[in-house]
Amino acid sequence: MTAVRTLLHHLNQLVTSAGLVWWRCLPRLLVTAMLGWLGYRFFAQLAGMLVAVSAWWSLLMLSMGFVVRLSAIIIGLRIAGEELQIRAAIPLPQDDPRDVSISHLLSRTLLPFLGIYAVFDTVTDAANNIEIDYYVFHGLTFERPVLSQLSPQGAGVWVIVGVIVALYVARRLVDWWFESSGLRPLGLVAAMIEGFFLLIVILSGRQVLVSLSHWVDARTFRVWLDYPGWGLQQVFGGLGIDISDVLDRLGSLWWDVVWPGVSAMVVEPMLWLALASLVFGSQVLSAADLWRKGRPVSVQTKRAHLRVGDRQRRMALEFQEAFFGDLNDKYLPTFQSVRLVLGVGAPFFAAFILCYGTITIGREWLMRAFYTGLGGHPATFWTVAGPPIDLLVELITEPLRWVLLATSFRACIALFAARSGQPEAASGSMPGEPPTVDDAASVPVTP
Amino acid sequence: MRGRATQWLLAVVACLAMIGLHAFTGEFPQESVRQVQLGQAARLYGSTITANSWTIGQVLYEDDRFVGRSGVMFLAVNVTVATDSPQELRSEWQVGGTANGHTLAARADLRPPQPGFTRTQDVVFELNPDDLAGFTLTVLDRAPIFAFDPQLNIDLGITAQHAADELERARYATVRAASGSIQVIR
Repeated sequence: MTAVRTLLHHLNQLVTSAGLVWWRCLPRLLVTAMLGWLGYRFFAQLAGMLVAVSAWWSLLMLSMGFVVRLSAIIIGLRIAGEELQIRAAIPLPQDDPRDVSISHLLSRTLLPFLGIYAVFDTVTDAANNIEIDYYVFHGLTFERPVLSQLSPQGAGVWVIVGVIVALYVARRLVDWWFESSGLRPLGLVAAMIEGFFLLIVILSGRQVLVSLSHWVDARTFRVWLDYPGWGLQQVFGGLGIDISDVLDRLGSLWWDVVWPGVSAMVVEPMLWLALASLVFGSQVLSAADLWRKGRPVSVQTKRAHLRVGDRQRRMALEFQEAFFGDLNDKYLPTFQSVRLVLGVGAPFFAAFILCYGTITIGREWLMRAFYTGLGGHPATFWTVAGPPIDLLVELITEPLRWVLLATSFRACIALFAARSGQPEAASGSMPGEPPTVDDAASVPVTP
Repeated sequence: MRGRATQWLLAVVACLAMIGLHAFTGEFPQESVRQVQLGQAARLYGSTITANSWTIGQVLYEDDRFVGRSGVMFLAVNVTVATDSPQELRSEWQVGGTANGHTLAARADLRPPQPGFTRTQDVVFELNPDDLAGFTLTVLDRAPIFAFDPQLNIDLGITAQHAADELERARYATVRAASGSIQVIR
């Protein structure tokens, strides 16, 4: 019963705090959500029109659309974060040198953001929508390749590799220029180049994986992989059990029901919370920090045990900064953020999953309600009616999601502070029901 | 230790509940389904479709040509389709049936006639006698590009008693189906 009470306490805290913050920030959140949506739709529409000219231009527009969408998410999270005074709640030194500008946050969060979108097929869906729009407006045709121009078979492997390398170099140069000059627009340009770079990697990489799978299927040794299956069939056949049917059913249950549910209802919320913690700036160490301190905080790498001289160390640091900048800026913070949100305990985890899942399912049901209300129509109708419906649903659910992520992160910080016995940097600042140290500590915890 | 295990058990239950809700949501139809009764006309984009009657039997003749004898039985549903849309439709109808949780495919396609014409034809299914009660004819207008397409579920109104009576009367009868007669809409 204590576990249930703890869960209910966290649920109550999340719902009331998120509701209050949502209400207080509603106008700003709505404007941000609408501008983000409009920006994304503008570039997506442009991508749909430009695909007839060149798939590369189309992809560039799509990547700009994703950058705009991410910008809206960051701004929305920061609006909610300001209301919750999250920055003040994180115990950071007074002279914390971290850059909290939007462009810096964009460059830091773009990779995990597009990573989440790639894992959950949002990028592929966006690319598919471009193709569908093209077919709706230009007629269904197989004579002209649409986005398949971007596949290694369409454009040629070396063209793809050349574009990826060129974009990587361009991004590094713009990054360097941005850091030396401090010009804010350059940060946005860098983010857009990176978005384009990542989209090409994601879409082309997917094609490479498919090609690899086809290549393996065409090889003679592929038959060897079937031998264990045939052996199992023989063994279970003797017992009167059709093992292939059993495995097919199990596989179907896993891939069609369980895994989509796990990824949408458990993995995705955790990844978004990790991304939110990147935006709010959790205390994360880069690979270079680990090296300078001479001891890894989170991961025990072989490199951390190396003993080198000062000169060698400086050279190695410069080399590391040049070639492992992405590791510092993105991968390690993302990894640390996932650790952060996983480490707060089961009841909070359950409460967060329930709240986030309710918003996800609510969004789906709302969309369904609109579609069912309007009835069946051809694709041309949905091409026109789909965007306004999408906007309406976005305006209802997206601000709620941002507020929930911010509130959950704030609660994470309070719980960590309570657990470690340290006071929060700014306690009692949460509107409505503040999850201060006292409050977090008052949560009934089972022995 | 036990308390922590209980907490994690609760978290797993919460996750399973949300996964179940997600699976339930995934079962929502991808089509705009409309229920109609036997004899009731319903629109499917530019066409109107009406299920007029149904017959059962074990021997099938189509347009007076012997087709075959079924190991189970045939069900022929007579339908009338009228296309009053001024332009030719480019949709593809998927005709089937459902009963007792089974999905059945029709023996032949059902296509909307040209604009300004009406066609009356039989849609034939081969099915188990147990699946006769509660049989529903389904017609889905699947557009070339997937959308939230309309689907008609036409309930033939076959109750368990009705099915038993009809099986008693015509289980081994001959079904004479027509592949279609075209008429101009006047």
